[in-house]
Parts: sequence; structure tokens; C-alpha cells
Amino acid sequence: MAQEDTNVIDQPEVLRHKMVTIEISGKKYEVPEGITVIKALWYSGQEVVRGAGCLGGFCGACATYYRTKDDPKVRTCLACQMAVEDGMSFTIMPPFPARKALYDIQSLKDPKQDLFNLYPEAPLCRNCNACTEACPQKIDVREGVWKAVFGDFKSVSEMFMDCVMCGMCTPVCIADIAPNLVALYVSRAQGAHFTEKPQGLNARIQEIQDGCFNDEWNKVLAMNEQELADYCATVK
Amino acid sequence: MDIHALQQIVHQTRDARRKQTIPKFSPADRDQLIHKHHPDYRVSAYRPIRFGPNANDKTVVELAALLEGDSPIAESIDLTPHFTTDVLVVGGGGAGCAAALHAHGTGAKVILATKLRLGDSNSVMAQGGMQISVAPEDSPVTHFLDTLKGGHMQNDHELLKVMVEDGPSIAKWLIELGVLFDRQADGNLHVKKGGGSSKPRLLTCSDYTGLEIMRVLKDEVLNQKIQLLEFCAAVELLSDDNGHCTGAIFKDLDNQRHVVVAAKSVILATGGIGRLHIQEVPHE
Repeated sequence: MAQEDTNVIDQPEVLRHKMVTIEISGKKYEVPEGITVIKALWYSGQEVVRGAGCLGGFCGACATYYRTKDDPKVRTCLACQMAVEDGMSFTIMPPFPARKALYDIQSLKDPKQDLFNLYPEAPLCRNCNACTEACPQKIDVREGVWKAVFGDFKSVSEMFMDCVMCGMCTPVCIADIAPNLVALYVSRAQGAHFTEKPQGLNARIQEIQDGCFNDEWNKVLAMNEQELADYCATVK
Repeated sequence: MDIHALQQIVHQTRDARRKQTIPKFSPADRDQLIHKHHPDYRVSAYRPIRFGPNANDKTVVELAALLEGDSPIAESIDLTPHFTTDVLVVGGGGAGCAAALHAHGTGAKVILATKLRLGDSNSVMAQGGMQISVAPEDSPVTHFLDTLKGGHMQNDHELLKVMVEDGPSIAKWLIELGVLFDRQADGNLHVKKGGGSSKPRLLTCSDYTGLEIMRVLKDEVLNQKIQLLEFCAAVELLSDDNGHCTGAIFKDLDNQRHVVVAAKSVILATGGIGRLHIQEVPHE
């Protein structure tokens, strides 16, 4: 809980009276306490082309390495989700040239076996756990890679639902695995091949094709503006 | 006062505030307040556009200024295309990826251009769910009527009918691509009730709907080897003597060079103008 209380994000302007000293890529700047790391970049006049995306903590563009005052541990965060504090030092992660396998998800015959053709490095995990430590979304990445290799695609798809594809698990891997890409393949295979087809959805598509709603459409589309507004008001 | 001390006040008064009931405004009082304070109702927020096809139409001043602005492209620019394609898609969010994949699927040569990375978009952060009438008690017509109400009756009827009728097929397409929508025990799609809809209609993927859909769509665009122009912001559309759009000029944000793309068709899938922060809302 102490952690949460100190991560004071986006306080209104009136509260930003205290300035703190931070280091951006090794250079010191004064910025208001409590603004996000990405705002600290803007505040200090850096041109951010790569490194900013949705600004909502989902696109994974702003993966950042940071260290807090006097702590040797370099941690990871999303720059739009972390508040700066005095003595913090950070650098945005450059795009990492990970290899993404290409596949046609629908035509796979044996997705669990195909994993080893598409990502032959996946079973070479040496259990160092660096990927799990690097994940800003707190996913147990190492466990996920093992579950993928052992064919437990369902668990992987659930574990990696939080994955924002920032790729911070990849540069740290000593076996050259890109765990986020492995998990994405596994999750897609789970959805496309190992999940029940929803019968109700197919029935609805058929109803539309068969024109089951045509009478209702004809009635609604023939209405003038006022009639339509009145009719809409009755739909509750 | 120090920010942490202020936080303490919030914590200390939380229980008392929980018990508090705040009387509801009457509709008239509510409207009066909204008209007084909501930026949409500021008279100074709007002005007529001075020239062009929309001359004299009123719009927000920020947009009017942009529409009347000079082109960033010099007259002398060499318009020899760097790339030629059947379909040019401008925008790399949900709409852009879906458009590119469908065009590619019919055999067209497609280029997708986006100002950031593929998928850095509003879609990726839209987690609430996607409205599609799949429930037995729901129908495309009900979806149509609910949406009309939500759109203050302004929606284009023809376009809206296409959207509500194509919805279920799009859900099927996404499922076949591997999107993990939430399910009921019987395997059917789970639907949640959303604001403004009379029937439960929201398809969800945990509380990561947009993220999950975009992960899959991005991956599929890459798998289909659709040509991408990332970090390329569209700065001008090209047209022929008949006024037909024939492509676009982009600015590559990595090297500041212009990229000219000639296309038989151009699809604008750029989304809205939220980042113009109309009337400085939301305030950065």
C-alpha cells in the first residue's frame, strides 16, 4: 500500500508546487513532483516521437527503464503510468529487434506442435526468471513460457490477457525467446482452435442473411423523423 | 500543503462522505449548470468556416483554424510517388487494421500508414466492450434504435444499418482470428449491459476488450505482410482534376522527409479529433 500512496499520478496544477530533480538518459532536469514519466519528458522539452502511444497504459509504446534514488535495482514501467520522484533516473526502451514468426492462424493443423516450428527457441528457457522480473504488468512470464511449451494454451491465454506487448521481457532473455510474441501466438491459437464456436452467434448471422428482421426494418425505415423519435423513446 | 497530507484528508473523510447523500438536481437546474459551465455551450467555442466546401458552416474554432490553414506542402514538391498501391489505408487502429485486412483478403495491394506504430490508437485503450446484437432477446433493429437515440437521431440511417447488420459477422471474423471474447457456460458469447442500450449487447474480453482485439488485429496485419508506413503522418490528400482522391502525402517523423503514395482508393480510418483538445478539454 505504501507503494500506491507514493505513486501520485496527474495531480491538478495547483498541487504541483514541489519540484524534484530527475535524470533523463543520464542528464539532470527539474520537474514538478508527481507528474508522469512521459510528462516529465515533455516538461523538459524532449521530442518524443517514439515512446508515446495511447497514454492510457495499454499500447506498450512507452516501456521505460527506471531506478529510484540510491537503489541499484533497475526496474521497468510504462512511462504514462508512473509518477516521477526525486532522484529518479530513467530512459525509454528503444525498439528491440525481436523476431516475430509469421503464420496463418486459421490454417494451422496442429497449433501446439507448430509452436516448436514457429518459435523453436521457446523450449530452451533456462529458468532465469528475468522476463518475469522485467514485466511491468506483473505477469509470471517465465511460467507462461513453460505452460506454452507444455501445451497448456488456455492458462497462457488467461495469464497474458494483461500483456500490453511492450516487449520488455525480450531483451533480458538469455535464450533469445520473445515471450510476449510466443504468448500472442498461443492466445490466438487458443481462441481460433481450442475455444467452442458460439452457436447463438451463428444463428444470429443466419437470421440476418435470411431476412428475419426485414418486416421490422421496413417499418422503422419508412418512418419520418418525428415518428422515428417517438418510436425510439418507446424502446427501453 | 504537501500532496501526501492532502491525500490523508481524503482518507480521513472518506467514511463521512460515503454516508452523505447529495440531493439530485432538477432537469432544469442541471441544464442551466451545463449550459453555464460545459465547454460545448461556450459561444466563443464556435465560428463559421470562412471558405471552402463548408464555408459558413459553424464548427469549433480549433478545427476551423486547421481547415483554413496553409498546406504544409510547398508548391514545388515532386509528386512522383514513392509507392503505388490499390488501397491506401490512413490510420492504424481498429478501423484501419480491419479495413486493410479486408481489402488485402480480396486480393488488393494495400498500404497502411499511421502516425505512430501500428495499433497505437484509441481502439487499444477502449476496454469497455464492443456492441453487437448477439443475444436472443436483442436484434439488429433494436441496436439501430438504441444507437439513433445515443446519436441524438443524427446518424446516417444507411450507414448505421450496415454497422448493426455486419456486427455479428465481424464478431465471427474476430473469433476466427483468435480474439478471446468472454463466454457463458454454454459456450455462447457473454453480453454485458452497457450505458444507453436497452438490451445487454457488450462483447468483452475480460476488462481488456480493445487491447485484446488490437493485439490480434496487429498480429494479423503483420502475418499478412501488409506494407506499413509507421511514424508517417498524413499531411495532405492528393486529388485528380475531377476531385477524386488519388493518394496522400505523408511526413516521416523519423527523418522529416515526405512520402508520396498514389492509390486507386484511399480509406480514411483516422478516428476523431480528440487530440486537438477542443477548448483545452481534456486539459493536459
